[in-house]
Amino acid sequence: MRSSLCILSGVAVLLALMTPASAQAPSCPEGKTLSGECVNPTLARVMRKQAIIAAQPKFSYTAPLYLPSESRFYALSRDYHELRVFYGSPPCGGTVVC
Amino acid sequence: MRRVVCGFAFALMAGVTAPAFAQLPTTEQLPLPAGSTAAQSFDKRWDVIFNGESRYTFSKTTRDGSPDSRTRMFYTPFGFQLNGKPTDDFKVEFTARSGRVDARTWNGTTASSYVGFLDSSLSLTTTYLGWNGVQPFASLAVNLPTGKTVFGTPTFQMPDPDFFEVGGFGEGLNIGPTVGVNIPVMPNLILTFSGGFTSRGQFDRDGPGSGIGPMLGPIQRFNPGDVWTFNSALGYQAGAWSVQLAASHSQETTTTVDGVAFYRAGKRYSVSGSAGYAWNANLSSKISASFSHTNKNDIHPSVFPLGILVLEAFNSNTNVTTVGFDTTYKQGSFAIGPTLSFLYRDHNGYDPTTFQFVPAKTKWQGGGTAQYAVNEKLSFNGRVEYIWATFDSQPIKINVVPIPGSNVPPIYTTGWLFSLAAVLKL
Repeated sequence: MRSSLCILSGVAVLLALMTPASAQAPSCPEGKTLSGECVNPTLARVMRKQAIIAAQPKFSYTAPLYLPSESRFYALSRDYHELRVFYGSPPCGGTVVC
Repeated sequence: MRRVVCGFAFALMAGVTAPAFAQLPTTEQLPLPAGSTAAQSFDKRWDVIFNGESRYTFSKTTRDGSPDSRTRMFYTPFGFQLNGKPTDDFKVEFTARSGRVDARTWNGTTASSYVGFLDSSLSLTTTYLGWNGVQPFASLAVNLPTGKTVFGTPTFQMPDPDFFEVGGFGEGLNIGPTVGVNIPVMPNLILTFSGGFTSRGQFDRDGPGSGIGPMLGPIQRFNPGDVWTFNSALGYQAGAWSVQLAASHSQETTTTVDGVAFYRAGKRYSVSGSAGYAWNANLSSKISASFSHTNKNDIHPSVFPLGILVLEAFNSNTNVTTVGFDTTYKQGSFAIGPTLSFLYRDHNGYDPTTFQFVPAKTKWQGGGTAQYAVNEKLSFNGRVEYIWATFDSQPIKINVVPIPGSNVPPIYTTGWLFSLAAVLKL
């Protein structure tokens, strides 16, 4: 898995580099409204990402669906009870028993 | 660690050859004032983002009558995204993430430590852009169990996830499909709905001892309940303002241990909101808040036969309130600003599954962030924050009447967080 991550990274870069420099930019990169106006691309992208993350609140406790630098914007509060049940994570943050 | 070096070295080599540039590349999040650089990523059909971070967190916990407890963690998450449009009507977004951790908790007499990789996630999202007025999307995510769940002792201490972000060091193979839709009411006003299902795979964990029978052995086979979630959100961004509101509801199936029903989490409800404002071209602020509530769990009382679950008398879940505030000042290639956040887990509760009282918790976290853009492709982010938290000394209450003898002494936790991250955008 770990070596695959490096290989996938290289493939991704190759794909990006293979795109011709003269490729036309999409006129509406995130689609259009009902009236045909271009949707705000940044807003659309963030809303979609937020919706996917919110729809998977317990997908992974160690590998969430956002990049590391995005943790302050997309992180969800933990199910503390479940973490105590799963891992015995102490409510007092150490070896102290409450 | 070789893999981290692989990612960072590649990022640096690519960054050196790129032309100089005035504005800042960032991974996207609201709010963004008008004219943000994020729009530049759409000039091409494809873009690739590499992101790696090194984070050091240290905490010290004190309580009257008990030895101090300390935890320190070196956490190195890394990941990359590939976003692109193979055709004008379809968009694909692929994300991969993993991380490595070096964590240690000790109180002078006992210690727990783990050095190794955490789980890894892969996700692929496809969006159809060919219809006016609605953009549906579908996503499939997989959590690969590359971390660790068995440590050879039932008393292994995990760091507090409210301080260290990492909740445990691994779990099972989880698969999470999501479907949703963006409905652009106006170009700058979008309504979003999504539904997700998380199939959580089994994993082994340390058991209580050498007993014979379900749940009693040295290793337990843990099968977490699967989760259904429905989410709705409204987002607005235009000019200097950006606003986002969201609400979600989750419910779970039964969690089993060694094939026997162990507990079933109550239904969970959460709401959140954020607002951002660009005071001028250089200065912007954002405030965010969230609240979540979980109904009572179905648990197994020890006096009942195995596999029988009943609704718990006291809600062992806590309501969670969070508030965050950030301000960023940008000038040329630099950005800097303060950050402050607050977390409150309310009410004392008795956790029948771990036989512990859970005090209410108040946590503050504050400090500063900084960003430097080497060029339009490569930027570095830094963060320093001080953490302080209090576990209250309050008795459990029934209808505001305190139960004598249920007090727990107050617990104080302080700590520091330092992080440095690199973002490369191609």
